[in-house]
Amino acid sequence: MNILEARNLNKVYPGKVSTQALTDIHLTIAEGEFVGVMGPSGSGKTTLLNMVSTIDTPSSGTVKIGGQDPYAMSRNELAKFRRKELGFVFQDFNLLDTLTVAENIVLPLTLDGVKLKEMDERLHRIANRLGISEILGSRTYEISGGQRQRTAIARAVIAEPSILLADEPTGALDSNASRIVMESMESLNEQEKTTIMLVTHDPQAASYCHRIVFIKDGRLAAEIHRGESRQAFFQKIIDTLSFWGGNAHELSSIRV
Amino acid sequence: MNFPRFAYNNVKRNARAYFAYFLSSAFMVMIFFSFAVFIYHPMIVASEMHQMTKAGMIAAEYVIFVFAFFFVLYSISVFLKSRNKEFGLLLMLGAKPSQLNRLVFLENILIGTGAIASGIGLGMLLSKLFLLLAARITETPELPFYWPWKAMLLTACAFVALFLVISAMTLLFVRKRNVLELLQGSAKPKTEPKASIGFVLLGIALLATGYIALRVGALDAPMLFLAAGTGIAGTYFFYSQLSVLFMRLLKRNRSFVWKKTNLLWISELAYKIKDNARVLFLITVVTSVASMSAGFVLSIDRETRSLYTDNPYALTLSANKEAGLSADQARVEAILKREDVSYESERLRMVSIGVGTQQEGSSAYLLPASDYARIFAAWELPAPGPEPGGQEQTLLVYDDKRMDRPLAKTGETLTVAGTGAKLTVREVAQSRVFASLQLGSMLVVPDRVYEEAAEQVRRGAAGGMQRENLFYQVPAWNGIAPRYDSEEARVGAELAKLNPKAEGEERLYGYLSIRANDYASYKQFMSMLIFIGSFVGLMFSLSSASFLYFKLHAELSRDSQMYRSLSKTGLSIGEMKKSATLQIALLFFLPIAVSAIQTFVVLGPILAVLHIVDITEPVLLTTAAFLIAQLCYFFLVRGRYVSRLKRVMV
Repeated sequence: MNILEARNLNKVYPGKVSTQALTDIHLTIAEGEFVGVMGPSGSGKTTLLNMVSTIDTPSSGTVKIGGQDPYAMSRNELAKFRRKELGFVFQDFNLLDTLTVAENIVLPLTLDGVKLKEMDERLHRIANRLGISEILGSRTYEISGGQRQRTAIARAVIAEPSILLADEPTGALDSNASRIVMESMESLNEQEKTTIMLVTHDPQAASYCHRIVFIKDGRLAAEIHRGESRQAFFQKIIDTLSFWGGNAHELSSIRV
Repeated sequence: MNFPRFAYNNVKRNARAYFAYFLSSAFMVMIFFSFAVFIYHPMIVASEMHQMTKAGMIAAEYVIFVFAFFFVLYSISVFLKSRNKEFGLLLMLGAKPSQLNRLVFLENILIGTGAIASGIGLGMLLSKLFLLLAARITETPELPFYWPWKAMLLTACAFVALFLVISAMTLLFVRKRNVLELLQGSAKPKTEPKASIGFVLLGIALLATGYIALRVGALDAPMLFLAAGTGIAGTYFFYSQLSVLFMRLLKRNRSFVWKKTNLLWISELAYKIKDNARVLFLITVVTSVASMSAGFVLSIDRETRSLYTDNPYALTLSANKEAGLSADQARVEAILKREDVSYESERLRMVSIGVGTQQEGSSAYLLPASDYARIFAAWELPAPGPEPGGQEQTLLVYDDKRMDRPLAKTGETLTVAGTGAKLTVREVAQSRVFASLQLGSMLVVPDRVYEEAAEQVRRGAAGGMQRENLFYQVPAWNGIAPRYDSEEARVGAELAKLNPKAEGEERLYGYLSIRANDYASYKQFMSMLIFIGSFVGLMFSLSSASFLYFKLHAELSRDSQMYRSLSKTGLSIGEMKKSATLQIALLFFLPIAVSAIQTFVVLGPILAVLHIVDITEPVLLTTAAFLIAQLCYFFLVRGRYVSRLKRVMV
């Protein structure tokens, strides 16, 4: 079953010089898949993610998440929908300083009025899975970047959404923290069967995906699948990036 | 471009950013100045106001100043925080820290001067407007406009000092930060504060001191200031410590906190708790002062009205000789007949004579029982108590609102000087039926006792004096307090010309006390007080609301960031509204509740000095007025705040 189905997505930012940010994007993500979206800066990755996140509306085309069309909903329904069906992970964590780690994680559940006992159960299960049980009582500024991102992931998945949307989750982390965060996401995908869409610049982070789509100048440029070895996949990503990302003829003209 | 020029241009070209700061400063100057105009108004300085009222007004001015200090300090810290990036950039471009300090200092002085000038200008307009308005509303002659040099000087000096101190303090704000911190803004979240037992105890001790200072011994100006000082400091600790304690306890109750939006607004409150405590404290003090001054005036006003309603006689004529009284009676009644007023009159004889009690040398007025009985029978007034019979007994009547204590207690025995007659006090009655005479304790005695005493006084044996009274009732005038254009007031003014005080041929032998005139002159004085009281109240309520608005406005950018990221993860607009509304409501309404309690506690003893006991109604009335005003501000501010947040919700 497909969790995400985006068809013929176009996005035009109007203005004096209107910008075509996305052109004819088709993207489907099946249940349990771990899909990466890559591309150079300004390629339209974030625009695509915003459409899927229901934060922005497409100029034309349809987005269906779990069979539902979020753009046909009212603002309140949409808020509920986001809370229930979508999990978000941001580059800058977006955790509330005012809350402890545990409170940050259960926030979506409290808004839904879930019983305290159930909240506790879910909190501890997810905290164990992500290895942040020890820091549940800490405040967000007392913990490391990797721990913060894992807290954000815990918050994103505690309501058991149909899809986890991650926007550059390793963008603000060092390599070790990045590795831990990506391994956490991989284990969520494998053990909990969480569907994940990951937008990233980082080939290392992307190498945890099953499949990667490349976007360039608002168009789908390539799609690669992972085999058995992550190392080989990493190499493949690098190759694809240098093929699609670099402007070979421009470079050569400079060298001449 | 030299440096002062740079500072000037900085202010001029970035007017929008400076405007909020400028406006809040000018606003405070305006309020302070308008109030000073009243305090130094020649008519108010010359008026026979109670010392307590004057001390109260000066205390209110101090409070305005303290409030202004914090308000300006708060606005400048917000203002500087919003410019951290600019300072960081200047440092990166190689500005010396001392240059930065000079820049901030110069800007402050520039804005301060502007604020003082425009504040005084606006204050002049405002006070003129209010003086006019007051005259219209209160049916009194207008308080004339005067050139308030003294008030101007006071305002200018006070605020120049304030801006200098605050500029010096702002240097500390900027100095400590390094370039990176300045460029990134204040990214570091505050740690959660803890309540300290020492401060809690200190707060309790301060509040207790204030409470005791108001209730122990004679209340005078130094005690009042002591109470104000400790009360204000105590209130600060009350908020800063108690709110922290309360939040800690609340957070332990997870089943309440982890429920719907509670988690959001409670944690926000706890986060901003120190800020909030300061704001709540300031607003409480200001609201308290305002409702105290308004409640004070209202209580006195009620007293004035009872002065009228408790006096059943439209006119009271007194003289110390019977012949003189008869002559005066003819003159007064001639005027009443001319004006076609139907009246009834009753005579009351009395004699002032020494009565031996424990208090050496005390004297009282004796009233014959038959006169006493006749008056109450004729006019069906509620008699304070039954007149004494033939026995050597007496009924003591005293005015409960003017006298501290009656002359004697029930059962006590008094000896009339000269005759040596013994009187046993059978009953002590509180009544205001003779209040217009303003004589204190009066003894209703058997006729025989009275005649003997009067004989002694006539012979000059026992000292003392005789007094003949004639009470007039005009049925048409009873009941409601007279307006200035009523018949009672007109005839009263006519009759007033008879009094020795006034120039004219036809002078009275004795003295005519005219209810309408007494009321009118008291009322005029009261109107002025009421007006000042409500003016202070309005100013304070306005300034506290603007302070809250400023605070919320300053937090808006941080809050909108937070709500934006929350809305991405599925916070609905309704939930945002609920959370924001609760936070704002607490800031607006908690101070009102606390200040209502404070007003009750403080006004009681102060008004007791003026012999006013019942203050519940005036205080509730003022609190209600404040609540209504605050409700209006609340809806206004909340509406704007929520609509701004709504814009960032996705």
